[in-house]
Amino acid sequence: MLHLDAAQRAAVDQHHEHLLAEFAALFDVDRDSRVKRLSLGMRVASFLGALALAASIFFLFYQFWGHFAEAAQVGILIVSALASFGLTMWLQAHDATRYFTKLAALVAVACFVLNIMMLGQIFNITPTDNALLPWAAMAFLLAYSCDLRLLLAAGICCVIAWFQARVGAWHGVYWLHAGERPENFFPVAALLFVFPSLVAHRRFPSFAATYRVFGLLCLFIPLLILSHRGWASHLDLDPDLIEGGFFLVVGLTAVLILLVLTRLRRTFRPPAGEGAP
Amino acid sequence: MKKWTRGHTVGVGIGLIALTNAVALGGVWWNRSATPESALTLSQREL
Repeated sequence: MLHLDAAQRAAVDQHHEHLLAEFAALFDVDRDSRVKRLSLGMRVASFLGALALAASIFFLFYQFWGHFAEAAQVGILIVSALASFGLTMWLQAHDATRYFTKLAALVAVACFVLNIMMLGQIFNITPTDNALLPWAAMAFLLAYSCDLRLLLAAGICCVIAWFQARVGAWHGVYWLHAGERPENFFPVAALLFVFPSLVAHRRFPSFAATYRVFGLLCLFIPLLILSHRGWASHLDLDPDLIEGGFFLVVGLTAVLILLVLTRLRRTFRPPAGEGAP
Repeated sequence: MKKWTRGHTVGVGIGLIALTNAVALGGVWWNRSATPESALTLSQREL
């Protein structure tokens, strides 16, 4: 057992205090629950402030938008998208807490979405689902560079919308109405569920779960809709049969087969190191 | 494999914004560059 006298104990305490101060200065960590509560409150306040600032800027421009010439409108849209993206990157290099970087990343994606949407309105461009791809790309880029799950979810939503629109369009449905056929979501559900198994997310441990959650949502919500609207199915079957649980039985059977296969694979997997030279 | 840096993110982001705007505005320019099939002139009264 180690017995410390008062002077040694004071030296240890001082060392710990010094370490904590260093961590607080370097990584901006919260040293106790009081500081933690305070920083949470400040985050909420700054989030609301950022939201109010963004809304006020939006309405300021909205008020005078009609008075700008076409070229000025396009210029403002492009500059706002570039400036917000640049601000995010600058903050990423200088913001130790990364909180303001995440706020700026959200604003950057919102500006980019607004940029493309407003261009469509100004020049009366035919609506296209392809606009979802650059939005998804920007959301994924900032989600992975800022480690932001909210933007990952936004990017996944864009991919889901684009995929189901494409599947619907291949069936001859206009892309804006493709969502009326719930089965259009099944291919993207499979893709999202498998994606984390194909691409390792070691640096982003929470991202894999997000992909799987959205994959399951794309499976279960269409199933729920089909259980109420059997006529919306692509299959030429009696709507009552579909509403009575046709897809549910097929889906559960598939999940059971998958579970059995996974269990068999684990059971018969050779022990680690076997077969190694 | 080369490590992904902030410089890559900046390059890809700016490229994405520029390319998307170029495609949208290029489509607008191409659409307006053709000779109109018909033209309708409205007088001040109709406006």
